[in-house]
Amino acid sequence: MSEDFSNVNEQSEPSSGGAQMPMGIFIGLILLGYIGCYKVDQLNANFAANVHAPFTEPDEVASLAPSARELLVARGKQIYSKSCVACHQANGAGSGTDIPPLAGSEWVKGDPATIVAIAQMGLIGPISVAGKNYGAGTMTPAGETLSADEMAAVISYIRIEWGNGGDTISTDEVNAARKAVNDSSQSGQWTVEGLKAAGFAIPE
Amino acid sequence: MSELTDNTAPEAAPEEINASCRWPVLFLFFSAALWLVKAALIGVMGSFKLHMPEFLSDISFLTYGHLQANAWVAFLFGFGGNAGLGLTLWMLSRLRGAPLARPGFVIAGAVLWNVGVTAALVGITLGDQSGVAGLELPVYAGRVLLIGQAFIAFSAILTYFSRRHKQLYPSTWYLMAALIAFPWIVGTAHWLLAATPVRGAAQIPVGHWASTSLLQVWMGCLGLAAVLYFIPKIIGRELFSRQWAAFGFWMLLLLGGWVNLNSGSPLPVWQIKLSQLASGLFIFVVIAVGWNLRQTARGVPLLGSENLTLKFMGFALGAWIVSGLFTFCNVCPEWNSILQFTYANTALRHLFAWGFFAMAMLGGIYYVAPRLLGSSLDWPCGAWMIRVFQMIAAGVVIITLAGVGMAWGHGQALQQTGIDAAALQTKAIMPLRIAFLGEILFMVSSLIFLGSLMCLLFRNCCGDFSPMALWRQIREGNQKEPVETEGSAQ
Amino acid sequence: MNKAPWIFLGVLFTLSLSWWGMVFGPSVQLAAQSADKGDGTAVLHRVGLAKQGEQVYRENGCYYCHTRTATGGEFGYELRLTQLGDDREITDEVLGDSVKEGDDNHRLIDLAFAFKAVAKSRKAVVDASKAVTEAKDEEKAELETAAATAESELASAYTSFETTFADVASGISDQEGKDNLLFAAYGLSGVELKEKSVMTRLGMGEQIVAANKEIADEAVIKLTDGTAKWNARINPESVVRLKDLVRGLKTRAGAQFKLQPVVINWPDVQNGVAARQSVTRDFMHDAHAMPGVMRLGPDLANAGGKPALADANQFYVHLYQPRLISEKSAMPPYRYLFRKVKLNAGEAAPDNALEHADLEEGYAIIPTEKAEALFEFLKSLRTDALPEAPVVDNPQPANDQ
Repeated sequence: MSEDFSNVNEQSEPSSGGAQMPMGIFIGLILLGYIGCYKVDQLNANFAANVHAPFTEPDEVASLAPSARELLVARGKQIYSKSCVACHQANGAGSGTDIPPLAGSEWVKGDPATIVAIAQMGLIGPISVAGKNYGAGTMTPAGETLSADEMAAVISYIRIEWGNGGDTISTDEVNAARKAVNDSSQSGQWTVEGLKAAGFAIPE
Repeated sequence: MSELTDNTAPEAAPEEINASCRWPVLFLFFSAALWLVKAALIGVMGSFKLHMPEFLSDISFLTYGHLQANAWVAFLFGFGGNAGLGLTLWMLSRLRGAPLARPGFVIAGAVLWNVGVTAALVGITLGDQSGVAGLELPVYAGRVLLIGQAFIAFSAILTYFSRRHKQLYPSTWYLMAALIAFPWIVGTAHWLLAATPVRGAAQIPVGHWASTSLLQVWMGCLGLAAVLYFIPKIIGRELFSRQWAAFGFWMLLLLGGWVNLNSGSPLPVWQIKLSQLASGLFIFVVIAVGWNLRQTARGVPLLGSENLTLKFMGFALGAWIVSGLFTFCNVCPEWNSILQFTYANTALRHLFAWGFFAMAMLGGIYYVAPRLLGSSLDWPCGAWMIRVFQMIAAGVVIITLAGVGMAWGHGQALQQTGIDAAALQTKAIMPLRIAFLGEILFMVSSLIFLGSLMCLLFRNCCGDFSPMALWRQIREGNQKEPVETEGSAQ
Repeated sequence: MNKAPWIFLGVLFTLSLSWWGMVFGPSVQLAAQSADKGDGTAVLHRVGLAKQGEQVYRENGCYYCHTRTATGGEFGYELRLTQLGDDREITDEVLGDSVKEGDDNHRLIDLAFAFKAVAKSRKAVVDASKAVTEAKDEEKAELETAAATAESELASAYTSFETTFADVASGISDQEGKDNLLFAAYGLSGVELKEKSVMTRLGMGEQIVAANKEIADEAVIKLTDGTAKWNARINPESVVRLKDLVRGLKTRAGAQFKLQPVVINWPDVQNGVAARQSVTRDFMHDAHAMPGVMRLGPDLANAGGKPALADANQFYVHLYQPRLISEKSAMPPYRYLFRKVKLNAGEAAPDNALEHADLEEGYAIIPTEKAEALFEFLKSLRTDALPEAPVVDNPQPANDQ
């Protein structure tokens, strides 16, 4: 066939022909698409936002993270270093004759509700801790500034740290203790007698 | 059913359409040529900095980071936008058989558009680049571009819906898609990355989608529309298959924005896997478009053709297919993990931008511009246009082969342990230094193209007072010899 | 496809699908990410100079030649058991073949459970005696019997502890080795025995406890070496074992463990580029996320953790004239980020002026606020551990770039 390729003679506007696509291409598309989607399904890590290559599964990434207990305690440590460390010291030893220690304190190791109540409303001495009497120091209440989660974290921290050997407490326990505090209609800081009167367990 | 009831007007004659398009489209073409020169010039300056980092380094806006952003914005919006919109208007009018509707809007839009691109370049120079690689447009410039494009799109859509020609030729689908995709993509980038930006990490996929869509969907649609239009038209056959064209079209729109995400991107695995899937399925777009045009042009050597437009379109098609095959290779993470942080991505962007898009646009302008002027269809400096083609082709081949080849070496070095830092840097820089050759070729060819276009305009607007005519007179006067034969040979 | 409006709508629909998958989905997902690291700390916002530095990084296009993207590599898992659960049978069942009868780890576990038994019996004794004192008269007799049983159980726990210890330490002759074994087991058991009498009874006097506290704190049993894979495609046998172990330890045995990634072939970690791969949360507070295009220069994912940035002067000299620090550098100089002030004769340079032997005499080169901001920004780029991306263990020494 001879065609005139010069620019000068303009052909009419092109039209499109009706040739059919072979079935093979659709079969190929479906096949490859299926394999591809199957692969993506296998490798997509459940569309999780926190799984990055080379990790492959949400389960795997969850196992990499520190345990819930470690995270809670680490979080408690952060809060402690902001809210508590000024009086009770980083080593939990307290100071002088006014601020009792947390390390080795039977109050901290004892019933969690009591220590939550004290942290919630604050406390006015005197108080006896680890066989020593502490005077008229005043602890400021932290109930307004710490959420129940934060309270659980920081109480868990002081119960475990410094060889106290206690266990973590949950947010639910904190909420229960807070409810007990509210029910007791206590206003202002506790005294040891007040705590006892409100039904909180007092260590001997 | 509506085809029977439609009382459409008869198709307009080509001359009538050409006349309606004349000034708006020529304005766009001429701006495109100017921006192409600017883009190539800035690109060369940027590449040169890698040979001599000390060169003009005390001027803040002449560092590689500023130049690179400027070069790409000038190419993408300056050249790509102007040339693409110009061809869009002409092809739409021709394919719908209707004269261009509301040319005044086009002129207004084109002016706004060029103001926007200028604002973008000034903004980047002053340090306002967006930080999204591939879409460095400052936020205010994006707004101007969107308004400018809306003006032009208004005219284009009126023309599109005028429905004189009964069949919607596939090119019109691509052109419509490009018209819709542009505000969508740039609007997304504008709202989600600049005006009310999404959270830091989410900007990575959004930025990737926007820059990739702009390349694969917007530029891809504009370029393929030209290729699909000019190849069948010039060889005087009908396009092989409408079905194939439709298949390729919808697949391109669906997958274009998802492909080519680096496998090492700091993103959740599912996004990377999704992108790999899209890159893999992209092979169907390549097959659909490639097969369709191969069957259409069966037996006609496109690159070896006498017709320069056909050469341009043939090379553009080839470059697009090669680029599509590289995209397909990204289905394989092992491949991508070697090339991801090397010059290869930039080299492949050059392949797409210059090898495919610029070739298709220049071929189109070569065909359309003389017709718009209604003059003799030869270019006054016609012999030079073939050089433009040859030089861009050579530049693209150099950048693709040498750039990707040497980038492969760099990528492998990045995968080794204990490699010396200085050796690594040499491997990293080498492909860019080679690519400098290609950039120079681009610059020279863009200058020639601008010159040729100016010659064409002068000849038709100034007649005997055009520079060429005056030059001929001077030569004749000096040599006192008849040079008619040379003159007519041009 | 001859109806113009249908093409129009179809294009809108198809583009919206593409948009939905790569723009809308990721944006919604990543916008919901929390900055909380789970331990009370959070991924911090950049403030002050560091925040401005991000803008300097952007406007100079630093992201073309520097990536901030440390990639992943090949690695295995070392599964380190740090604390045993309470039930011996379930523990044995979960551990299965990982710990074989007769090897050192098995003995450690034996001894750790002996500790647990003592602690449990001791607690029973304390509770029982407390119940006796608090009880009303009519219940007392019954409770006293129970207390006596508890006492005898404690005694047998002690005996069983001693036999176990004698048994497991039979091969060890020196006292130090015995102490190591004892305290490692004590640490793994997770019990706290505070009463002096109990500790002495177990051969752990106060001073010895203080001396060996670290051994107890750091005691681990390595259940897999650093080659175990999680990914089933690579190593199907070890994956089943590792997954089962981890799930069993977590959900059934109540044990505590650490799953530590160890490098096998991870170039970015081995070359000292970063301590782990880059993840989304590294970018969460960026005003403009710039993961980078090419690695013409070094990757900056962990720029803040590198020795090169420890010395501000060296960084500024590098920014001012890269070739003074590394001869072949292809980085352009950023002299326009500095002020050059002529010094009068005898005038001393200000404190923040650059110091380098090859700088021009008689001038003070002073970093502008932009240079300082860039420095602070780079200092803020770090690859510290995140819950979803722990720092990777690299047994080979890092080749620092």
